[in-house]
Amino acid sequence: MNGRVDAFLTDDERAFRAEIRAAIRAMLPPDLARRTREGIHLSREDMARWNRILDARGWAAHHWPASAGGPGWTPIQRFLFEAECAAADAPPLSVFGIYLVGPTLVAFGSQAQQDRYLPAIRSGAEFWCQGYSEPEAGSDLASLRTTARRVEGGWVVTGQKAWTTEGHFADLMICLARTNREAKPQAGLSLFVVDMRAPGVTIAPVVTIDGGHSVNSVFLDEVRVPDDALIGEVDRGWGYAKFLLAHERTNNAQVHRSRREFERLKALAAARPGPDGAVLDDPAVRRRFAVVEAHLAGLEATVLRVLVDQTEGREPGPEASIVKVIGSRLQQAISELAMDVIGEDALTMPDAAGGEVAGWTERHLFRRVVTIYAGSNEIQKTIIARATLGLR
Amino acid sequence: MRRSPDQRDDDLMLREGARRFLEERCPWTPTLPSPGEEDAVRREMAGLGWFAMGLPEEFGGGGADALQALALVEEAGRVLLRRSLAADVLVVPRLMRRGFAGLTALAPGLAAGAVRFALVSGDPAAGGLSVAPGREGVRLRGGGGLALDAGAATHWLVAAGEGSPNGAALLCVEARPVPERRLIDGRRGAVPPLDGLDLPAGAVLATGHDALAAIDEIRDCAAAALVADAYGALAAGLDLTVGYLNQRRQFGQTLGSFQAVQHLMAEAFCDLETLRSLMLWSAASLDGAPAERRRAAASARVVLGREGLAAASRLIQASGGIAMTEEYRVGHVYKRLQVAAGIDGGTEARIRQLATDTLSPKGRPDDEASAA
Repeated sequence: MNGRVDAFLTDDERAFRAEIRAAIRAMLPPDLARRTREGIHLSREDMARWNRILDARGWAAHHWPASAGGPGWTPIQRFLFEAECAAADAPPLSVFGIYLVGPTLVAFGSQAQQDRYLPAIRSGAEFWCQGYSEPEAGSDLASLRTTARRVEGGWVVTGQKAWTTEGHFADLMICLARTNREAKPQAGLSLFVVDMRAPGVTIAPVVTIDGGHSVNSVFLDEVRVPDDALIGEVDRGWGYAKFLLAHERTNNAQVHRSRREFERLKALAAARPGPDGAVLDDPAVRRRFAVVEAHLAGLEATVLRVLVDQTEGREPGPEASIVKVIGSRLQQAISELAMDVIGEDALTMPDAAGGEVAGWTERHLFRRVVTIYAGSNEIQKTIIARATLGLR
Repeated sequence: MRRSPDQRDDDLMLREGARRFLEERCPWTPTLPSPGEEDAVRREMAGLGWFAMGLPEEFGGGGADALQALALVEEAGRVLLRRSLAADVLVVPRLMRRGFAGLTALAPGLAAGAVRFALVSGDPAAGGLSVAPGREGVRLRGGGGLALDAGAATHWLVAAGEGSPNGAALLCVEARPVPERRLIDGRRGAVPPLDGLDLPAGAVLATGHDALAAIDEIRDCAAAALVADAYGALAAGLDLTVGYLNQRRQFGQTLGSFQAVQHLMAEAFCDLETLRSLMLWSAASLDGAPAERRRAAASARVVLGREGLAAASRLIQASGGIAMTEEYRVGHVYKRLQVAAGIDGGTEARIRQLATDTLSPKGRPDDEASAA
């Protein structure tokens, strides 16, 4: 495959990659790979199936510490594992269970919580959703209004959560709620586990501009949760949420997904007839691909800079703050290029076209979200300007 | 090969020492230094061991790696040093590893600062350079391109017949007097008059595949250095601009407190760090497979010519009118980047190269497509 940033890897890391590649190709069922290529919102069954297959090898929770059931890989090894999964068209792992809740519980949860929840995340038996954003608290997350009121033996949670991805099939929610009205907005929040089947939980689907259903509104009406639903200490939830964001920055770059899509798009452009030969024979199209190639290599090299530091036991430098901004823009650039490669066939309603072009249009439309979620790019740029550059 | 800069004790000593020396001895000023002053600084650099450190040990070198050489180039970029260090600290010392006798004989002179190289390649618009048998040995034909510091150099490293092993030759030519051209960023270049030049056969360092491999390495090393220099210039320009924005007040508040200005600077920072990542990849790939080295160098130059130059323009925009003056450094950072973007065929040539190297050839399906 073209466009690999290999020079940063040691011989051992390359050998590790070869081993992982062969294993994944052998483990991944072809029908799962096909559905991953063609759709953007996979079903719970498909995600759980892949989760289960990986768990049998001990690879599902690939970035958890070995003490919590992870394989004990270095950050670079995880990167290579993710790259190989993406290159093979393996379904993505659930962002919330594997990436968000697992590490949060490992860092801040009680032993009992870890014992209760971690095995089911690893095996894919339970799915989670994230209850952070609200209708009135998007970028300004700390202004959220959902409250958790102390009662005998537990808490009562009331409020409304917005943009809850996978909420319609999740078993559990990790929910940020206000437990202290007296404190500053950030200081009065706590993190809870909410059972999505508890009385008082109502889920309403939200259809997004790609025509798909992956996000939901979740209404919490006097939902009772037990004492042990509280994660860590009361009023400390904001710190826990931020800790995690800081440790998962490179995940937001989606570098492997972008590389895989870009390689598939090259193949598509080389196969589709254009005005003079294939679409990819057009010098203007080739120029656009080459520019994206340079940007993609820039993202890959930046992510690897961060991971090399982490692997070698150093705090990453200031470049870690840019990966969300440049990675999200690149995801959009690739899907924009896809629209031009596919041409008018991309303008007809999904499933009408089918075949080799399936999925690109929906992906392009839904892709607008990536510069908005996980801290909009405007928020990211303000953080870079203030925290990294020191503008004031 | 190591993959992180600035981690070894001698890395930090080298970088900090270089920064101190450059800021004391050749801080940027709008006035151009005289050639005499430049020569004096050059001798001091030789005294510091800058030109010896990258040489192979059998030629008295210090065994410094590409990351260390690039650290010097980057630091020189920060003060917008007019005379390029790239050829003498990185490109030629690395080339010495290939053992070309005509070149290794010059190693002591290079280390002492008496020998200075300029990198010369053909002007593609004029059909490039070629070598034919000549009266004394060989004769050069065709036009050379604009070469940085060709007037100040004692030797020209000339790449002829690039692209095909049949005509490829790498030559080391004693510099002739040549009319210099002042570049927009204050640096000097020249177009060496090579057409019809008769040279002894000993001037030819390599031909055929050997020459091609060496020419490719020279090109990719030079690209890494060009990007390191540009990154240094931009990083120092960004520091200066941030300092200015935090002081200058308008509408009763600092310019740095306006979100529009903050976002301009954040964009510039994203571009800057992407450029640095590509420079580091380029450096790491110098010891690896030629195909990856070539891709890394081309990618870095594409981003230099697009995002790097755009970042420099943002520094001017955020600084406002002051950056339009000849007295202020930021405009010179922009000019430095403009020269880096445009030299050696410019950004579009790198984009075409990257397209050729990473996309299936015209009329042939992609490997992925035939596999699917």
